[in-house]
Amino acid sequence: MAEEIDDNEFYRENFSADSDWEVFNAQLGEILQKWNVNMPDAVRCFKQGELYRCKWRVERELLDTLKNGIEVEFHQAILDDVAKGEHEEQEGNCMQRTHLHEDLMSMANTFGPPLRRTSSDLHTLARIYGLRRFILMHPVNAKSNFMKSTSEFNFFLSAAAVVAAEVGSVVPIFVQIYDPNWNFYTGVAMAPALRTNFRLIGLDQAPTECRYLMGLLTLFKEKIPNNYSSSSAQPAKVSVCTTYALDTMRIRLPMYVPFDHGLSSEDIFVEGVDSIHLDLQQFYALPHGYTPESCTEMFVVYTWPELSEHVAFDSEQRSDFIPSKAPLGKIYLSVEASSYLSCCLKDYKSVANITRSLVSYVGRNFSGISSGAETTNPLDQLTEHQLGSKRIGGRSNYELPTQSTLTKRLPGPMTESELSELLAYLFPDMHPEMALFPYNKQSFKDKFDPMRIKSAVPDSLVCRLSCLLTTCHAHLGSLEGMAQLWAAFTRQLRLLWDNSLAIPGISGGFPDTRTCLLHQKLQMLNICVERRVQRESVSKRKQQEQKKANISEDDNDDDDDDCDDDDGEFFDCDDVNSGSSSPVKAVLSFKPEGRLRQLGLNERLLDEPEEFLYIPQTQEPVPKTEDQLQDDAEAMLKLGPGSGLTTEMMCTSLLSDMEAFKAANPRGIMEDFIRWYSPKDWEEIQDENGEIHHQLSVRMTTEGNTWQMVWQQAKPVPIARQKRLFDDTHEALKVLHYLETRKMNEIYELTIIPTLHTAILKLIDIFSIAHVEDLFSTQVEQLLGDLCRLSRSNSDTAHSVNYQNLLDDLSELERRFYQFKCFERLSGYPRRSSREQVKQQFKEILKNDNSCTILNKKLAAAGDVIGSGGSLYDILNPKLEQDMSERLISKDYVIRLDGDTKTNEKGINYLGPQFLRAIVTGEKLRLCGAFTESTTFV
Amino acid sequence: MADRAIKLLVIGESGVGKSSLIRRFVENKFDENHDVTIGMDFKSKVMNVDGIDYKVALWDTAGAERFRSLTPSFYRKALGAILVYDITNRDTLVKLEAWLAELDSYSDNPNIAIIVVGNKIDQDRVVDRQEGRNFARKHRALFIETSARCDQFVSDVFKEIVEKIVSSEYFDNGQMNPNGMEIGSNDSDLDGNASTCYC
Repeated sequence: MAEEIDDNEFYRENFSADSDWEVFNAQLGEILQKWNVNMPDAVRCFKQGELYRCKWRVERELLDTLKNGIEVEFHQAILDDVAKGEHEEQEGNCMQRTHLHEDLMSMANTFGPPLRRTSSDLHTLARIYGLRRFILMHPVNAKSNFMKSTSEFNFFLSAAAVVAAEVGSVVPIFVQIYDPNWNFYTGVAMAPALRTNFRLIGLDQAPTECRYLMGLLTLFKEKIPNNYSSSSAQPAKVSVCTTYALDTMRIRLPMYVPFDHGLSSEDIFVEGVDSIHLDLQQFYALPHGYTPESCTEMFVVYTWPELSEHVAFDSEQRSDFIPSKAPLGKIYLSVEASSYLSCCLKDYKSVANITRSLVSYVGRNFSGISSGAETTNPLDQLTEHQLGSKRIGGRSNYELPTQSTLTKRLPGPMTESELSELLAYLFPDMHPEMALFPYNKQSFKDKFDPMRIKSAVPDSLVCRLSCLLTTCHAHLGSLEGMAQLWAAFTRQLRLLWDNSLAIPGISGGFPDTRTCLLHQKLQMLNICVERRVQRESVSKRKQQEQKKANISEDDNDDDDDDCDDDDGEFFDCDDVNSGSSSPVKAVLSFKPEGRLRQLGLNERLLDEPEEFLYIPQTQEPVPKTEDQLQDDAEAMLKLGPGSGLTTEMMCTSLLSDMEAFKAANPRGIMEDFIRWYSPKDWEEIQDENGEIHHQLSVRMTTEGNTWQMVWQQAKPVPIARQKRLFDDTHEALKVLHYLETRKMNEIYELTIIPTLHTAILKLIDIFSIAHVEDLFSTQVEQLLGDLCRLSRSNSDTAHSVNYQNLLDDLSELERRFYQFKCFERLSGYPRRSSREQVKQQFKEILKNDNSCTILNKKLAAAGDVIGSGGSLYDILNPKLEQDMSERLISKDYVIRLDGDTKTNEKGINYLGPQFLRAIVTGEKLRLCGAFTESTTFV
Repeated sequence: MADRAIKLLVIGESGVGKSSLIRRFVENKFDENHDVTIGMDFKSKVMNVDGIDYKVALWDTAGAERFRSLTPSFYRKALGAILVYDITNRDTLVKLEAWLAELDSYSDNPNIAIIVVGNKIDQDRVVDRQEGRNFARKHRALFIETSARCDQFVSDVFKEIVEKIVSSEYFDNGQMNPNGMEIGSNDSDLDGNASTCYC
């Protein structure tokens, strides 16, 4: 095929007879070229332990060979760039030396942590050889009985060698050999005039001498090319690390579920494990504690980072590699802990996908009103006199009318008494006999949470309810329990509304769009109650006055109005009498009505200098919850920009104010109104004579000015007889109906943020009692920040927000706390170490991949007590000495020998690195070799 | 297209020219005698920044005191606020403090982008440019002076704030980041604007 062909001649080639191997080579070559494996290496040394921390980039390609899918993966460590200065050092080096040689000889990443993190994407090969880049070929389907025989993997290995040489790849290429028990790989890496062969073997029962350094050294010496032993007298460098297992630590933090009085089966006392209780400053309606399986496994790892082969002795009879002689020691804590809090929150997340309606759980008519009654005329219910009198009279003690519907048991898993206990927690005022947790009134006046999580005030009704629902879902009857509680909650709200009682545990004022929607809805309900109480007390007083007036025949309405309170008392038109067709009855007489106060001290009407200008009583602004605002905004957007309809929507309040003004100032003119309403448009003009005049601004007097038009329409009507801009009854029933008709997933959406918020607050509380806030402050802050972001991003997107990451972080934080508790006990706190010491070392554990130095002879020599491990070593060492051989779980030997990198007169003679790693676990032995041979004379 | 919508609020005292700015920008018209805004109004325009079209909804608010209780309900989800004052009337600049406080307490976006606009530079100046700049700097806002009547720098107002919004981390994620970038903290930006608006 490779014949020379003259361009002018007829050109043909025939690839149809190519073997599978040739085709595979061509395919592989193409992939390698695409991945740029021949790019010059920007070789820089590893930093200590960098390989175990960095992230990896993996590229994958599929090849179809021999009727089997072969996946080719390219693994690359993502290392951060270091200042150039460090590179230059390397440049004087031998041209033949590639990053692979650097990696094999690097002492910085010899031993990784003894524990594999599941999250870590560090590949076994990188771990064994310390590689930053490598290519791996393996069958796509692990079960496809393929790559088992020598011929099979030699097919790929030879292809790899040929292709690597062809494209000038310096990246090692590995083939994975199928074996059910061991990770077997074989690989090859090319470099100028050098070839490194990688071989991994595993033995279930290794010869005894091969389990110690002396035997391994002999093995190593046999393997390296001859020219090493002759030309270089360099001794091999040996690194050793031994791993001991300590007893697994179990601390029992038993399950606690609020309001669950049944003895939980999981809380059975476990012998030999003492349980501690988590303390809290406050009560949170969320569970806590850890599952009984929670434990922390502990390993002590001693390391001899770099020794010359002649220095240490290690054989079956005698070994220098014992803890007391080690220069470096570390403890690793591997924690497996799941908390009931995290589990409960994770469970709750599943509700997001449940679209069953509330009615399907608790049955129709659970709220106590028939569905028809609500639409026909809810006012009939409200104007019922008996209720009305009770409402006003019985405010101090909550004697409520017992209606059959309210006591009717709600279907669900919780018993009547269980449910009423929960309700007592939510509505302490309603159940004074069983309320344990009254609302802290002060907290609702505090300034709003600066983190501005779109939630509600901590420990408010919204937070309590959200947590209870979550707890119910996990522990007190799952979805049915949750539905039962929600139904009971809405029924309670209806009861409060029917009796004009405010909902407790909610911030006052207008619906605050910075809080969650559920909180806004309840605020709205409270505003409705407030307006209704106001309205009814006024009309009641009016009735009494009417009676009085009838007796005395004395008409002094004006004075009465004038001395009314300033807080915007609201006179409602009599709904029952006026009917809906003509709610407005214009006052034709000039008798002023609905005055609030004078404007200024001496402002008089323009046309009637005798009369003062009065500010009328006006209707209060209309409160709206964010979903209503959203509807409004959408309506405006739909109407289109600048449309007259938008203005019309806005004009209702202007019209109301103008009518009230006309009623209060019967002889007032538009100019008077503008003086009060938009003083900027009452302009001061100086004429030629220097006299000052006032006139309406040009924009107010232009043809077709909306204000003028509305003024024309406006009739003098005091607010008492105006149509209400805000119909409290209607709005309240809307809120109640809204809450009663939520589906399960909607209930979840309404409550998840306050639940998560409270969960974080609960953790903060636990941490502060345990005096570890400072340890976890960054994580907590991160959680709060994330929640803040999540809480705002969901307000109107249809798809629900994904809380998975937040929940993962939360359970990780809980895991860490358990780890801390174990470490605290291990450190012998409080008898043998101080809290500060424990925390200091735990910080290292947090930062350093669950490990903490317990011994560092270098630092100890320099007098650094904490850095050298301090008392922890003294506590642990005696434990180890007792049964050292039993606790030893693995020994790791790495033997390295590097060729002379300096070029001598004879030219290139770099021999490349020789590498052998032996991992001894009991009788098992794994040998991982990388031996380099010169290809110059091959 | 829909997700590239930006809601901007235009607030400030009555008669400073909020509606005129919007009208000039959207319709390129100026009308001395247009209607006095009642409550809220809004106009929209598609703006192109770095080759991407954004649908900008401009929510015009009434400046009159009486409407103040009505307007905050429309502050929700605004990504930017244009605070307008009248350079012929110092009081309108002073009052911006109150508007800003209002914005702060009603906006649900803690990272709302703010631009301070001194309007009516075609008329006799009463408020020194430096005063407006100081105010803007104090509140980490952008600053620009304009004339809606003479169409000076009006489009820059909208360009500046939209660019600020789309360049912020917040917009990229479609989420609000409490630790996101500080808006308008770049002082050289302010100087640049100030120099362009001399007339």
